[in-house]
Formats: sequence, C-alpha cells, structure tokens
Amino acid sequence: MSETMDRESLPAGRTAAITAVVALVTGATGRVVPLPGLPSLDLAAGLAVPLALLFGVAGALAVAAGVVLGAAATFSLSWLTALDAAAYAALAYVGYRLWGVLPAVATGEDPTLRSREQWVEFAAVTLLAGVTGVAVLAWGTLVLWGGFFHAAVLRELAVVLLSTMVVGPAVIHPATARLDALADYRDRTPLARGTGAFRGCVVVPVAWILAGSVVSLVLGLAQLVGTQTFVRHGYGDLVVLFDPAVVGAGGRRILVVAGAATLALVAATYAPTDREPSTEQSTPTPRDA
Amino acid sequence: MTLTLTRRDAVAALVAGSVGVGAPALVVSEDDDPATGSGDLSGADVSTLVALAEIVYPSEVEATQRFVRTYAGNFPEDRQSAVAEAVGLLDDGARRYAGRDFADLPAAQRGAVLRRMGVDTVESDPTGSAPARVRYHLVNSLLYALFTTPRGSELVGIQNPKGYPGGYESQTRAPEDDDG
Repeated sequence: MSETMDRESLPAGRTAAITAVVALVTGATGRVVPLPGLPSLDLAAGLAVPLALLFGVAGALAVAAGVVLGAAATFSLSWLTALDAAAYAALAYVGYRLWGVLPAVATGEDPTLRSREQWVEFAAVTLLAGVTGVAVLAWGTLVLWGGFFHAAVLRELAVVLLSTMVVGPAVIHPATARLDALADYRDRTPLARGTGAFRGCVVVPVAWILAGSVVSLVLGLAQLVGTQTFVRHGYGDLVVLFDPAVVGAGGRRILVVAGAATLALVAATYAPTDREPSTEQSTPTPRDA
Repeated sequence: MTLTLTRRDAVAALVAGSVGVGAPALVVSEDDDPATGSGDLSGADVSTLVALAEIVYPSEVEATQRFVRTYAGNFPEDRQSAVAEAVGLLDDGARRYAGRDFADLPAAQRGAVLRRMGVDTVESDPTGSAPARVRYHLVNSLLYALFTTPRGSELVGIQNPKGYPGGYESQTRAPEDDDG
C-alpha cells in the first residue's frame, strides 16, 4: 500500500504547475471553444484523462483544482463549479485506473500513443472514463438545473469524447518524450504505479448511464403522450408511474435518488486499493528503443 | 441589407401581442436613456437580451437596445421578474462554461454556450429546467417580438402576423410573385 501511495505522490511543485496549466486554460479559453458544425471543445475536459495518465491521482486532483481555480479567477465560483470539478476528477481518475487493464485492447505499455494499438486502447479508456464522468455530470445537472438525463448525457458525452480525442494526443505524445528525461518519472509511469480496476468499475457506470437514459426517455415520452391517452385506452392505473407531480419531469426525482446511490457505488468500486505495479511494466516501449 | 429593429417596431409588436391576447388597451412606457433598465429589468438584463438577440435573430436583423428595452420593459410585472430570473440563469451558464457573463462573450462563444446548456434542443417551459426557462422567457420572447412586427415577419414571408387583421385578404389573393 505504502509503495503504491509513494508512487502516486508527485512533487508539490509539479502538482501546482499542472493545476496552474488547467486553471490557465480554463480561465483563458473558457470551457467552450466553438467548432463549426461540431460540439464545442472543452479543453479542461480534454486535459483530464491525459494528465491523469501522465501523473496519476495527482494529475486527476490537479485537473479538479484547476477547474475550481479557473472559475475563481473569473469570479464564477458556484455549485456548478463543484459539480464540474468532481465530474472531471472522476473522468480523469477512472481513465487512469482503466489504462492497461481492459481486456482485448490493453497494450501492456505505458501510454505514448505511438502505435495503432495504443490509439485503440486510448479510445476505449476515453469512452469508458467518459461514460463515468458524464454520468456524474448529467446527474449533477439534473440536481442543479433540472432537465432530462438522457439529453444531458448525449450533449456532454459528445463534448467529452471529442475534447479528449483531440487534446489527448497533443498532450501525451510530446509529454512522454520529455518526461523520460526526468529521473523520478520512470517510477511513476502509469504501469509502474499500477493502475488496476475490476469489472464492476466498468459495468456500474455503463449500467447507470444506460438505465438512466432509458428511464428519462420513457418517462419523458409517457408524460408527453399525456394522462388522457392512457385513461382512454384503459391503462389509467399506470398514470401514477409517470405523473410529473410524483416522479418529476422525465423521472427527475427517481433519477436524482437512484443516481446518488449509484454514485456512492461507483466511488466504492474505485476506492483506493493496494494495487500492484503491472508485471508488464518492464516490457520495452517505443521510448526504450 | 440590414433590418434594424427600433422602438417603433417594439411598440408595434406589443400592440400586436396585446390584441392577440385580447387586451383592450396598452400604455407603452418609453424611457429615452438606453443605459437604464425598465421595470424589473436592469440595464444589464437588457444588454443580455440584446446579446442573445444577436444569436437567435437572422443575421440580417439587428435588434437595438431600445427595441429590446421597450418590448421587454412593457411586459407585465410577473413576466418581467421571470425574464430577469431567466437572464440570471443564462449568465450562470455563461459563467460556468466561459467564465464571463453572457453579454461579455464573443458571438461565437455565446452560441456555443447556448448549445452546451441545451437551450437549442430543450422544450420551452416557463417553470421547467434552467435551459427550458431560458428558451421560454428569453429566446421565444425575442422571436415572438421579431415575428409580430410587420417588418420582421415579412423577412420570413409571413404576410399576416398575429394581431394584424388583413390576413383574410392576403389569403384570398393570389401571391403576386408566384412563378407557377
């Protein structure tokens, strides 16, 4: 345990530097960089997974701190900032924990994105980490803003995936080459730290986002169709199941409560465990060549 | 060619709207200082509405501060409060995603903030979620204002906007520029 924790740690100066970079990017560009005909780019979201892959837990925490600091610098702090910071920390942390463990796509190498196999692994990790981060984001948006869970999922997933796939390679590729020169980084590469996750870590967020979206969509449609239609066709007893006064618009009340329980479950599945450094860490990487 | 909507257009839209809901008379208050607000709406609220109009109106339409202030400033009091609240929600979204108030953002970023908030896809609802209220009280109000002015509605081919009797005539007469 102590060996893992030691490898997770990062010199304070470097953590502060990462935090400052994220804060600067967040404050300077905002979190919407418009792209014609595409979802906007969110650079803070795009930096989350790459920085966590490079710097582990310290990188994930620095992303969250950077989002908060960026909002503070523009006098924009609110509960929404806390939500975004938590969601991006989850996105980053889950991405880091999933590297090297996904069956069929794990390359067994530290991330450098210098081969097609690594790109596939990066895309898979981004997708699954994105699902977790977006589930948190959509749930929090439901709590703070209301609206429909499935709509928030579709909107945010597109932004997070696009941003990570655009920003990730631009950060990881050059960074890994330079980090190699740092004497203490060799012990802190993702596989040296030991990533590790189990199937529940993937299944729970995926089930959350799918089930939540289906409930939101079905209840939203039922509410749109209206009570009278159900009564007229003899299904009046079902009305209570989707009555907005009972379940909220699009099942908001149900999804808020169920989401809180699921969030606790997700947090429990990713709680720090004694992770062993990967046996694959000695595998030569392109950088070693 | 740019179509600049003026206070006169706002008055026309208000009259059309009040005829539409059966109001017998309308007293339009007009303040000559465009920097001030009107009723429950502050000058900053009006600026936000103007900034929003730049995004939701066709590019050839320009909504002046006086147009927006005269139109929104003559809403009933409860409606003005709802508009002011919706402006607050829109600014919350702009600060969340871009770190500044909506009116201070460049046009491209304003559009991106609206899309990121989901205002472009949500169903409008006066008491619903934040994006739904922004859509109802701000976006739809501005569009209603545009399409109930004679000049604004003509822009999109509406010959008989709400509140303008004469629609019967326009529907019984063959279109003048019909090629068929």
